[in-house]
Amino acid sequence: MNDFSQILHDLTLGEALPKRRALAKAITLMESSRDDHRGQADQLLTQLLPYTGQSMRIGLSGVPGVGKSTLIENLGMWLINQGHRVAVLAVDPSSSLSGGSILGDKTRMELLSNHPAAYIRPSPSSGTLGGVAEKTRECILLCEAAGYDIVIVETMGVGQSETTVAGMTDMFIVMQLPNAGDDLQAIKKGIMEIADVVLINKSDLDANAASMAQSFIESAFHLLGGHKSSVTAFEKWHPKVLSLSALSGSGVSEFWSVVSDFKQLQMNNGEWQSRRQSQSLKWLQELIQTGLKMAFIQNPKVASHLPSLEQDVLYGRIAASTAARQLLAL
Amino acid sequence: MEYWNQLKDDIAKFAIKQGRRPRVMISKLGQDGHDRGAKVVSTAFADLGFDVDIGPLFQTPEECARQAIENDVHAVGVSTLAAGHKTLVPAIIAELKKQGADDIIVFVGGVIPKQDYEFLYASGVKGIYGPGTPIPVSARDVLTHIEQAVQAQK
Repeated sequence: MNDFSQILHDLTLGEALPKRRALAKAITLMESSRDDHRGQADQLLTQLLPYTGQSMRIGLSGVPGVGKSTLIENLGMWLINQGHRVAVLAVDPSSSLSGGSILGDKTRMELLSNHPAAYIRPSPSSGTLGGVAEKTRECILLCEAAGYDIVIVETMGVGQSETTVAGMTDMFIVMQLPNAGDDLQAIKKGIMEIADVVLINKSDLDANAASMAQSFIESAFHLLGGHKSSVTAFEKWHPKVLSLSALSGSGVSEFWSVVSDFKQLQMNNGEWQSRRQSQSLKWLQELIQTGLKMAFIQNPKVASHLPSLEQDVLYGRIAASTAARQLLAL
Repeated sequence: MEYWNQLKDDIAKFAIKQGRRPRVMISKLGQDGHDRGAKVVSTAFADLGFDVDIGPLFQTPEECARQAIENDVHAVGVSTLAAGHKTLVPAIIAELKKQGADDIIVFVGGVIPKQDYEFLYASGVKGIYGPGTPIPVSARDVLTHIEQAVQAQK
């Protein structure tokens, strides 16, 4: 079933089973590196655009093993019980040696992955940096078109600076472990300063360490000028720090009430819309950059001159900057 | 080593030609928790350049088929070491068909008595890899079957 119109039809109007399969095929088409597939994918996205935009997009990030998948299992089931339909896009790393990957997020999502109101798609990062895959943004739109009203993007396990997912979601959540450093770690720039909520997970293992970590990060946010314990209706959002146990589920409903507060506030003060708008612009700029790069590499003149100039640079016959200028002028 | 590298090259060529890497899901079905073999095969396939999905333990054929479809894999590899294969393997093939995905092929690895091979092939299994099968040989066979299945769809 690579038939374009079939996918389009099933994705928007199909019964549950064909719809699930159409979404799966559409994501594959979107992620394909083949030129003809990319053309079709563009067309598909254009046709589906009227059906997109209505979901809440949540980015979830944190170090490997912090409990991202486990939280999604618990949170996802909780959301479905509230009547939501939940899509999860989970990214796992591709090997830089072989290009292959191990995609294992569903092993932590046993209930959610079998629920009719959920769709979970693991994707290999395929060399894309920043914790997401190249086409994650497009895949969010596909999930929306298929009728999911909450889309969670789970990044691969990342460290301090992988913030790409924040540029494609309405809310960015960073998970932290207890016992993972003091407030100095928290005032370092990077991932923490753009988090909307920081979650300290595994409070069931060591409640004291969790509450200590929570106060470290809260005090760090005070230094950054962000944190406040209460906000009024039209004020800017100030990042919150919560501790919970993804495994036992304690703290999950409290976490979601913070998410709801966030959404309400962002809607009231206009941030929700303006964040999406600036994300779209940035997306456009990124696509232009990627396109320019591809056009350059695929340019036949460049392709014919590149190997010899590379040799010249390799043996010091010409400066890299001069070679680059010559190639760009072709 | 040469065999290994050749296979890696062919997988890389497949990825260019099809726009994505060959993707397989390694599953454990039913009351069979022996997952070491599944992990060995998964990592080796990933080392060769496959994208490998690992499912939860103790899956039903219905759940396994759903996840294979959702992840849009080319093939499902069932690792079986607890003698459920004559029931579970035909069941997963039937489920895939029922959920509209008979283009996803099924192969089996693990402890399977020789006298059951014919039965499994007859129910639609594409490859059976018993104890002692070198992993690159099974991977080559899986790749060949995936290529044939992709060809047949056109």
